[in-house]
Amino acid sequence: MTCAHAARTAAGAGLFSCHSCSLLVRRPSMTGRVTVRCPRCGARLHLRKPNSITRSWALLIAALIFYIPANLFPVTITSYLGSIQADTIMSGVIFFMQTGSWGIALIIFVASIVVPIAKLIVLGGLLISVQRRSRWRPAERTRLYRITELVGRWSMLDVFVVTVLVALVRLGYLTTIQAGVGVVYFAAVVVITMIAAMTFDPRLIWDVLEKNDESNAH
Amino acid sequence: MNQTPTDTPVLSPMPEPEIQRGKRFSIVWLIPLVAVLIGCWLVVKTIRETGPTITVVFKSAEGLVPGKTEIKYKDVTVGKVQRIQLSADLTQVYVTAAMSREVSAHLTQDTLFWVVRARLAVGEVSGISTLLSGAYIGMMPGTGGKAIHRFEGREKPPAIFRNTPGRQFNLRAEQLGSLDIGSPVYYRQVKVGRVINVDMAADGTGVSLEIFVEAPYDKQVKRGSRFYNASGLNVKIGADGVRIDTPSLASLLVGGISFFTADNLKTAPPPTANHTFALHDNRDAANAAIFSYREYYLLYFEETVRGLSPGVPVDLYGIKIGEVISIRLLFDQDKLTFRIPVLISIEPDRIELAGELAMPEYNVVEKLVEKGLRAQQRTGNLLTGQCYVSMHFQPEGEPQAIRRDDVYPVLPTIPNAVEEIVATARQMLNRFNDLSLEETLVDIREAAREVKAMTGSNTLESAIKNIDQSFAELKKVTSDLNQGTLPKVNGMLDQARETLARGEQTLATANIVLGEGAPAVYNLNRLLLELQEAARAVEALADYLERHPDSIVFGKGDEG
Repeated sequence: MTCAHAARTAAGAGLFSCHSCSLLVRRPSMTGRVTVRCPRCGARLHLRKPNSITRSWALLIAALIFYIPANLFPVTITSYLGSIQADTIMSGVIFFMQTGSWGIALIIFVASIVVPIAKLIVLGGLLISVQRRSRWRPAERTRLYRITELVGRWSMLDVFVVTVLVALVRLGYLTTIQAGVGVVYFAAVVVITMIAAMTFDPRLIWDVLEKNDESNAH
Repeated sequence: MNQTPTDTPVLSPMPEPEIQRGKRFSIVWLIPLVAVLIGCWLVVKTIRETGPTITVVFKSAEGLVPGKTEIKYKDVTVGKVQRIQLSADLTQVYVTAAMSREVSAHLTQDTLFWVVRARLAVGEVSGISTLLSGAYIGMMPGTGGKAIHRFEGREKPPAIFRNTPGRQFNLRAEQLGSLDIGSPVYYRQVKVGRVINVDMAADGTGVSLEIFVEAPYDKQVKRGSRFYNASGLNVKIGADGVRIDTPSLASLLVGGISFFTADNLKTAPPPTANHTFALHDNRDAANAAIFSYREYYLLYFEETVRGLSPGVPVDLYGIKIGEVISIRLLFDQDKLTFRIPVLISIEPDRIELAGELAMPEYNVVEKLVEKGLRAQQRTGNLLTGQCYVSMHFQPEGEPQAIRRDDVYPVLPTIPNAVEEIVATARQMLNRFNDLSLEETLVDIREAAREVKAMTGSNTLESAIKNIDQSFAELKKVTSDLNQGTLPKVNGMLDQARETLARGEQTLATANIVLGEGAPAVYNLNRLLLELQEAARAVEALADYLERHPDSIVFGKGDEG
């Protein structure tokens, strides 16, 4: 079954599929450092996202590094009637839990802690599996990738909350909220993981199967 | 496979080209590199900023919240409380705090920590911001020395910060009064400093205070400066009348210390580092203490010392040279007599000197006593009966010497001036009594008889008869005088004496009283008037006596 489907790809047919307008373009025989463009929309044509694995790895590592200060440094600095309290992401979650706001605590916990960690792990796992040419459950892995890409942006929620709070809560001496350094790193983690997810080419998951098919066919 | 037939013949015979992927460095790796660099920078920064962790021991952690309470110096956050624990015996609280690196060099043995809470005191309101924000821990950096990690927290903030320009002085007081840490120090009623520490003296005999006088006023403190307690209301009724001292209202309530420097000490050098000033109870005491060297003498009085109290002045020629320290009553069990030893202190520095000192100092008083220096109790204030001790010279008195067999040298005394008057008056009256008028008359009669025998004339006889008659009258008058007037005079004098005694010896010597013209002089005036009348009567008698012998001797008989 899969063997039959595997051959029906643009790459297998010796064609480019334009990423922008999905026009099928015949793959030229020239190799080396040439730029191939779509005749219809002018987008660059390539079989797979260029340097996908390397770029994804680089971005993933950067995100991983930034994730440490993002969790250690405070994201909000609240001064309430002169007393100053700096909260990291986790202490904020604990604070909401302690004050009984379980819902908010859960949302922040999921959006700011679970999702980024899950993204980092999933992306790392996908990259490793692609590099090891794993044939294990490509469909599930692809779905995982889709979920990752879909959910990743929601981690920005925390950043937005902080930005909105900083902008809104300016009651002078009574209460002021300032953004902490942590939020910058946290935003960096979210953005970089999003880019990493984008640079990752899920077709690489299937390439292994395809090549195996080809080798089987010969 | 439905491949395009055109491609296959072209491509199939051609070998697959070796595609050399550019192994060049992908620019995307700059992102993790930057991340690593930022990470490293953060790590280094954090390590650099993280100072030592210290433990401060407090009696109570009231208002302190772990992870929230900050440690501040000059309102700059230099640390944060991390943990609060009770000591094993539950008497203390260990506050663990992470300090920032910039103050780590100042966490030495003399670094002070205290909890800043809202403090409301008369004359001082501080830490109001903590009412809303909660307490924080104040810190005063140490001046150097070995860094330590365990500190004893103070309950109160230090009154003066260490780097405030100025100087610290030590005072010693009999008792604290209303002074406390933070009480103001005034110079010419300008607030120039504060009390920074109050402690019991090591031997428990007094209170030692540390005060801080801010620059540039600290230069006003000279070696001879006098400090006194300017607290409260000072009402004094003494030999010089009623006096009320009121300092500023604030110090009336919270207490305070004032100091001044006598004019002649303005150029004195500043005090040495460990100089301890005495803190006097009030300005008068401080004034009096300008002469710190004192000599003590004992006076024994054998009369009432009512009106004499510790602190009354001892004066010489009307100038205060010392004061009474204590008065006791001594009963001699062997002789069954009472004596009153009065201890006085003399401040010799009050007396300016002229000439060269020809004898050892300790001999001066002895020489003066030889010259007639005596102590006497006198009334200073007729209204209140306050007495003072007067030192004066009485060369005519019997010579006495200073006695050194007691605890203190004993100066000779003379009785109170009123007692003296009474004694003199009695002596005078006794002398009147002793006047041998009768003998004189007998003598005169004999003389007359001799004259009669000599002359033998009748006229003379009748004259003599007249004289006899006159003498009889004279005798009568004299006896009248003896029996009536003189006892009356005596009685009057006794009465006057009683009045005086009842007036608590408020009457000073006649000289002083007349000079002062006080109302009580009236009594003395009356006494004097009565004495005068008595004297006039005696005078009339003398006149009479005088006239008649004349007429006898010179023959001017019948007009007797």
